[in-house]
Amino acid sequence: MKQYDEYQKLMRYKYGYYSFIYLIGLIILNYFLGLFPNLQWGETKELEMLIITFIVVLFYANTSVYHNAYFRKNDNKKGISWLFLITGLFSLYTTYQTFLIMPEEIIIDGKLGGGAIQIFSSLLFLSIPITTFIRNRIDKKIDKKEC
Amino acid sequence: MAKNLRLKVARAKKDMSQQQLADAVNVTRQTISAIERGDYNPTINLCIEICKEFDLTLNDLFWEE
Repeated sequence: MKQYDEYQKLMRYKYGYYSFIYLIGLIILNYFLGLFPNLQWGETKELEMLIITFIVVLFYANTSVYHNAYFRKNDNKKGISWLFLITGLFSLYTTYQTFLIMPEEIIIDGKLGGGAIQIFSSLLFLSIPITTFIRNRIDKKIDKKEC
Repeated sequence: MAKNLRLKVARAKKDMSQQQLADAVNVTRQTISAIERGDYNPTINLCIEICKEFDLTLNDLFWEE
């Protein structure tokens, strides 16, 4: 946290707190889904927890990026974004190949399988450069307005 | 929060960009932008750093009348 400035720290704490609240909310919701309608959407309960965690991580990473609190001041934003984009696309492609060869890895009896983790990690890698790009466009618009 | 136009004016007088000011006080450009827009209320330490950069007092830049 030392390399972030005070505004970035504030944003990280703020959205970290929101993410924690969402995590608790989703875990409770999932518990009740399993209790009353006896709905299990993941292959195992552990997998469900892992996917819920991924959703919250996705939210936290993207809100941090959007509020300029993900990359540090001296980070190479462009380089990291490109690296994430390539990794995300490659990961999504391999997931698609897995789905073609062994669809039961991702969906089994209408439930999400272990392969879903790969989809979420690809989404995480892909979403960061996309959000960075959107944020840059918005920043440029604001700067133009201010000048 | 109201916009901090005095900071913007002081920066313009010194012919400094947001990025240059941000580098001088060791924060990101977006932090300076948020302060000028009035979206963020900086800590006293950052206020002092900014004042030192412009050779102004806290009253000159941050005191709301």
